[in-house]
Amino acid sequence: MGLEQFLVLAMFASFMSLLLLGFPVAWSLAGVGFAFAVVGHVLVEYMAADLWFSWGGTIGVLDRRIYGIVANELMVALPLFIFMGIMLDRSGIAERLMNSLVRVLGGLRGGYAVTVVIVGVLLAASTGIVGASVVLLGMLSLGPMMRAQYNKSLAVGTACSVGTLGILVPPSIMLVLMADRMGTSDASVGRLFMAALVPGVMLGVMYIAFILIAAYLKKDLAPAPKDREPLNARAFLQVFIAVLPPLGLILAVLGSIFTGFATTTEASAVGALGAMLLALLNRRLNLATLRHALYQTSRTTAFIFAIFIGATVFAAVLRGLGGDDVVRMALTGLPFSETGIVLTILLVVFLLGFFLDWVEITLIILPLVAPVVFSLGVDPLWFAMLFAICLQTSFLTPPVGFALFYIKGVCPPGITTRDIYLGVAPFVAIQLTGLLLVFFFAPLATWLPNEIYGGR
Amino acid sequence: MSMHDSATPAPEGHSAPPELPTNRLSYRLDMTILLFGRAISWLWLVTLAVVLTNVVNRFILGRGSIAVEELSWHLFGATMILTLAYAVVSDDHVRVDVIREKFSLRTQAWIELLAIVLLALPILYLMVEQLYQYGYRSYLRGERSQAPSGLPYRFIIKTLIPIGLTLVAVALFSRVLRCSTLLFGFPRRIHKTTPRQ
Repeated sequence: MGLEQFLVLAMFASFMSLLLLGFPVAWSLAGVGFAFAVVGHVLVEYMAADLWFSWGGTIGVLDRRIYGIVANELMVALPLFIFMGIMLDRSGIAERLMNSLVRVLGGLRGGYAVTVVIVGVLLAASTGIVGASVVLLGMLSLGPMMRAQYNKSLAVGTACSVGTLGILVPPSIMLVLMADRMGTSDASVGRLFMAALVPGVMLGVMYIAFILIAAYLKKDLAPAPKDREPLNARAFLQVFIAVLPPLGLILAVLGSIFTGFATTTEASAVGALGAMLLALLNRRLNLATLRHALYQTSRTTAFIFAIFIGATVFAAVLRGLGGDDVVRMALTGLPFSETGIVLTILLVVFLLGFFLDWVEITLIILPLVAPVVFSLGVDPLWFAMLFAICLQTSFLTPPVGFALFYIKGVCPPGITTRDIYLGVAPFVAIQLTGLLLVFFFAPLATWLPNEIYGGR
Repeated sequence: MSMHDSATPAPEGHSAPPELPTNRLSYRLDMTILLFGRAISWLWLVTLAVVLTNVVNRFILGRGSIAVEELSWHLFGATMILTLAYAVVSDDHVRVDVIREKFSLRTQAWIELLAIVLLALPILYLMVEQLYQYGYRSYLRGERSQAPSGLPYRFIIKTLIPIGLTLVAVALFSRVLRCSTLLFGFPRRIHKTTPRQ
């Protein structure tokens, strides 16, 4: 092993150790970057090591790099999408949707869980913030499902898994960041949003299918309620009325991006305004709500961009130590074809997902591997979708499945960590199946964007 | 519905982990940063309004203005960079706490203290120093947008970046003091709790 390989490995290892000791991710990244810049500098200047490292070329370019994060019109969309999501969460739309859908679907075995999936996908599409979706879905649905004698694991697994669809179903802040980091027009934000639409809805449908089949096979898993109001036209009308606003908002946001009518940033602003109007119509908009939404937007934005800045330091030093070459050699040196290499990357991402959040993986790993993969002629859209589904799945995998933490916070007493783990297990399996489907049938991801925007 | 704030991005908030004690100086610093961060948060509304103005301009008047478009990311950048420290105080920066929660509060405080002093503060110092120079050079050159109808005074946003990072350093310093209060009893503990948001 050469010096460069050793340093790169050591850098990742130090980062992981610091992280596991509980130091915040953003400062771990920046701190390890700093420590290895010192190491590199000492090695080159005082020990005449055979390295290309230079202080000026790594720490010295940070000013421009960090300014580049700020001076980025696309990034304006991020806080606006976050604000839109928080506003929608508080607008009371989800409860309405849930209550009206339950009247129609509640009679089915597993009907309540199916409702959660549908609300979740609609909500997911409109927020894109996993924490918020999981918490909201959990709060709205766990109690009623428990009362309907649902199996604890199924109930909690559904709420938790559906909540994670938010980072996949567009508009999603993860896809915005991915597009920015991949930096190729073949995978622009609009294209990524398009590409994620089919797989996202497909996963939702697979969830529903699983719930219905499981509830049918095991009668006590999700029993149908004994007493229920008869279905009438009114119930259907109410569903229609409840679905209309969030659906309209999503269509307006996505539609204006897809038709090229508005930029991503403009669409996010329209979405944010729309969410505020919906909250206003539902009489949920007041000073307290607005203030909380704004504070929350700051905190969520800050935590993403702090990691962005940390990752910038880390990446600059890693590159200075020859990290790009090491990763390239390691990947192309694998005795596989392109698909084998893609599979290897996905496996690594999946494993990293046990410890890291999507933000870090998108900001550190994606820019390292994406150029290598693209140079092999792999379709950027297809690769991006596989990457995205993989990251979404990592939310559900213990020990650091973030969705698991969130749902734990809102579980009614009596639901144990074990119930949660058992509950998400089948959904993780569904996720992996979905991943394989997209892997073997690339058009699932690439057909829609190519149809709309034209092929590459 | 008053949704309580469990929808925070930091997952460790769910079980109310033991808090670091605070002291007079840390409390003042934390509160200042917190109030400042909250006040700055209102700029998101202004950002929103600016982007919407551009949308309206483009569709009603038929053309967007480059100056307004640039203003949108200037505002975004300023708000984002100035609220970074706010998230330090509210401890929103994501941690992995699988192993951490098994440590005693003292061990946690030692790790936090050493990592901040040895790693985070030095790199922040380097960045801040460089970014001030960067902003100052921009000021000397009278740098403006490259687009003819773009905004002048590029140095303003460039100078806000090191200011935001300085605030982060102050917030981290305040955290170091709080660790020190726990570990060494200095500065003296006061019994107040800093709000978490």
